[in-house]
Amino acid sequence: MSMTFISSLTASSVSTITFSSIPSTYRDLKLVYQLRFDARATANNLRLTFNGSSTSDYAWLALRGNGSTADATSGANSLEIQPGFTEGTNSTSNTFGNTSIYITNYNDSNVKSVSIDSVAETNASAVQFTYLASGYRNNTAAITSLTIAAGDSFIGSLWLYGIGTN
Amino acid sequence: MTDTPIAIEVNCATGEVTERPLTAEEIAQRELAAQKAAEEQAAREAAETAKAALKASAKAKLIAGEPLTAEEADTLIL
Repeated sequence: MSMTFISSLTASSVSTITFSSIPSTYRDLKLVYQLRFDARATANNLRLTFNGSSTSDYAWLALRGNGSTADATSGANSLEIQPGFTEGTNSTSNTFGNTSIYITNYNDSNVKSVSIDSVAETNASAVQFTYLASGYRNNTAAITSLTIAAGDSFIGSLWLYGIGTN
Repeated sequence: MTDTPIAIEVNCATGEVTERPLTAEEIAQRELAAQKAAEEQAAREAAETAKAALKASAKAKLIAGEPLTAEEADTLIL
């Protein structure tokens, strides 16, 4: 399937980023980003929501590893999907949390599923995570906007692609 | 860094980028989401800590040849 660039954004000390009016011409969506908190010392999770909605109909399940331990974590009836950790100001300079989010069949009338792989590599002994997750929203509306948000401001870049054709 | 959280939005149809401060309602929603996320995180960590304690107890009892509780045995079965 072909992969088509839709849009990109550069974040400079923002706490919410939205791609709106996403065209319905593709089958799947792929969001790629590298972000880093600029006003929070430690690494932390971001939040992914669709269509501006923060209702408790999201769920996610993740496997995490930090180089010495591994565990699983999840959220049910959640206000968002947690797409992995990103770096804080304590992390090595110019290191970012890198994440790829794949959303299948975002136009159809079924519930929405998401696959996520994310890494936070600091080249130091601070938080380093690999994170592999599945996400889900129990809502059948087509996705027309994606929002990445956090409780603290962050910097970095995001790219949105369309995959295949609708 | 600013005191008021900033939202940025790109309209994928037009390419227009808008940047604005979050509204009071959005800030309240954000704080609610952060609070719930923290509560969920605390619940997960408590469950993980309890499971680790059960596993440690099960291991100690196995070494000592003592009977395990059902909950302790569950931690050993894949």
